[in-house]
Amino acid sequence: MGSILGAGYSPDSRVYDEFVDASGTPRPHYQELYRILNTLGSEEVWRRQQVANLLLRDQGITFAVQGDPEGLERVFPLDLIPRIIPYHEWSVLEQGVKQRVVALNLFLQDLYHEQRILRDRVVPPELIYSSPHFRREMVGLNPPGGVYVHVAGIDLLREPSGQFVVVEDNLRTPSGISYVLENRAVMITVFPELFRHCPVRYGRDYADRLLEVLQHAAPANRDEPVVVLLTPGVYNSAYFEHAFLAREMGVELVEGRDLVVRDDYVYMRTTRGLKRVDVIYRRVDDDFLDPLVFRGDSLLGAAGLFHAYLRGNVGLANAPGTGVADDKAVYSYVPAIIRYYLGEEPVLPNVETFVLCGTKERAHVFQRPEAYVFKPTNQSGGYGLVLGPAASRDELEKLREQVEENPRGWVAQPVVQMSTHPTLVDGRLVPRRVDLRPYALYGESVTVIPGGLTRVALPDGCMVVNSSQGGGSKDTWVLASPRLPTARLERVA
Amino acid sequence: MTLLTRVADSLLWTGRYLERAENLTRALRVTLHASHESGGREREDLARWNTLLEISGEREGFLTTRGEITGERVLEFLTLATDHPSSVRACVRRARENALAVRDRLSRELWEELNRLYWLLEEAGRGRGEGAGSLPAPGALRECENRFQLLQGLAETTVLRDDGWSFLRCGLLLERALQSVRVARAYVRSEPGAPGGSGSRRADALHWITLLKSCSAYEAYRKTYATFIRPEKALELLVGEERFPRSVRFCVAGLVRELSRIVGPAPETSPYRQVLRLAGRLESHLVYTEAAELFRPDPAAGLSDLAGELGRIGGAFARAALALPGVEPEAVPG
Repeated sequence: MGSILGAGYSPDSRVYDEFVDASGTPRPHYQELYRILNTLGSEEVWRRQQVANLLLRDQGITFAVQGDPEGLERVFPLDLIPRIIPYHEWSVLEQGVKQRVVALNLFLQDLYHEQRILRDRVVPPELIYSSPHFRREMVGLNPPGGVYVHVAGIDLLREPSGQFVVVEDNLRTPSGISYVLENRAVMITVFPELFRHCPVRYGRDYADRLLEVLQHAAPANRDEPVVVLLTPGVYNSAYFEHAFLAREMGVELVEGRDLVVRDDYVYMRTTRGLKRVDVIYRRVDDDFLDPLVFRGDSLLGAAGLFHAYLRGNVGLANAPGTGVADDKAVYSYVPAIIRYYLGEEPVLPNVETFVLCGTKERAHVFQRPEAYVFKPTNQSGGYGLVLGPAASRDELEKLREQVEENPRGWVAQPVVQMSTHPTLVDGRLVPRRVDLRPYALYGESVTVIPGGLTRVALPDGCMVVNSSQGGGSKDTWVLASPRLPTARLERVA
Repeated sequence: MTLLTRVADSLLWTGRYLERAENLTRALRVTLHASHESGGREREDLARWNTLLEISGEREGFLTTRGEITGERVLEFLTLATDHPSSVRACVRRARENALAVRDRLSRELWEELNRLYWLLEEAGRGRGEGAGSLPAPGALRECENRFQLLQGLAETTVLRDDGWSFLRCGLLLERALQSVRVARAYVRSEPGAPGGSGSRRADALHWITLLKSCSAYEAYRKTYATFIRPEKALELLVGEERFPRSVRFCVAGLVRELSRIVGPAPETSPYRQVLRLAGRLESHLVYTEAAELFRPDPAAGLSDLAGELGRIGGAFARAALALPGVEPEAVPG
């Protein structure tokens, strides 16, 4: 083991390490990176990490933690050691993510129309009707192009065998893409050596692609559709991303109070009068979109918005009601969903999941709760998650009560021993758990953004990677060709 | 380029709060200097502290929360206190809050400098223990004033001249005019011969010089009128002199210019046409009214009228931000 990894770099042997194999040798696609890091030396690498930290802080690449009394903004840490995915692995991931997004979209279309999959008993109807995110208001509505999920984030983990598995789908308002883009910019500034020898395709085009997808969602006959990004406002945890994307796309960042609906058309209030809005990229939950239809106490949406949508006078991305398809209980049926609509086997497997509204499943899981991760079916950001192996007896007892009280609200999955990656902590490289969230855009067809967000759990031994729980991120590289495993690393996007 | 009315409103208030904070800082510095210069006579000083409180509009609040009027207490109250909205620190907080929501519209330099000023005041405020009545370091007010002027310079030289800029400028100008009026009126009310004044003839000249210096108008006065300071001329300068950048007339002329830009080529559809009307009327009034007429029946009343007009313009901006076409903004009484 060379100097950069240090004699102390010893990943858990039961776990897949992204960088080194079982014998401690850097994998082929990491060898070039390894060489460069060694040349620089650990002191220099650590110094650059400090520079990167300052850059992030100065540029305000932050997020807000819900309910944090201390401060409004926290920097989302970027670890300088990039995560590299070889060509053939990415091809599989891309295929798998595409397949999933297409199938889930067809599923949504079906759920809100004939519901054939329910009649054919492939998915239990009661699971759908008991999902808080199934929106009856959407039944019969035909979104432009039949697209419900314009932006998706699929969470993946790598098992000890090296196989990637899907842990979660995010189909409502997935976030994180702004960190992917800003991380890359910081990496280029701080670590130019890594990019020197490669034909870097300067890939800021996520914003362009997203804009294209959004324009595609416009009502027909609108020549130059006016797109806006609807944000809950500055106190929202993802506000930085909302402002970032609006700026990159060149669209107006609006809050609910900037919108007014007249005669079922949506307008924004400008200093030159009312201006018609054609598409809303809404980063506001369904519940808060329209006080006339959903939560009546919401100030974040606009009254009449949903009716304008029903009439086809405005596009919404993502469509309301997609949450029924990323409900964690429904997740366990996704392989069946893929088979049903596409007639294909799933390219990416699910994690075994126990839907706890079944008494048998509950009994089974609670025989050994310390071996499972318990997830609320309809939360995001890692909130409410209970990690069996890390929980005390009391916590597990409390959890059991919660599950008995609301069995439909919980699922359990065996703990996935997710992969590790060298991460800079106090000047040294130590193994830390990572996940991967590729993003998919659905316009005329589905495109998957190469790489995506690699999140890393920063505390020692921690397996929860969410930013709200103290996680950080890494730049993610996808190799462009199978024939260039080492000497030329090309970042895609 | 599209500008949301909410964003326009935030830009306006960023300008207003910055201008307010700057004016207060200058008034404090000048007043302290005058106190030292005249040997710190208690009765004269008391008049000075009262004048400062009058300018800030927080005299009642001060008496309720701080009690006895002393120089130290007034200084702390108007610089670092956070329990009322009119201290320098509170104004900068609000300016930053507004600027945060419209950060994209400001240049990066302006935002970063504002942010730095914010942290300077926050650290000063926390370090000193709020309400402990401790004073900022001697050069601090000067330093602060310099920072404000830096911000003005950055705004002038780095912000793109689009509609967003026009709103920022409207905020600066409106508040500047209002401050000139408020400062003038406070000094008129506390003049040495008046009740509440210091009662000292000796203090006459210094009183009016301090007024002028509070508005950065002392040299301008000398250049315009030569010889000794006469109160009615000082007021003329601050209200009606078209060449003096802080005069009400100058500021309102600037407002009219910016509002014309904002309202654009189709005034009937602009939510801001009412604001332009009010500003235009006030400008005419200032241009075509003789100086003596402006201060009828007495200077304090004349200045109050002006303050009222400027307040109406501020109100019209607020209503424009909320108005919907086809729904006339409600007339505000008075």
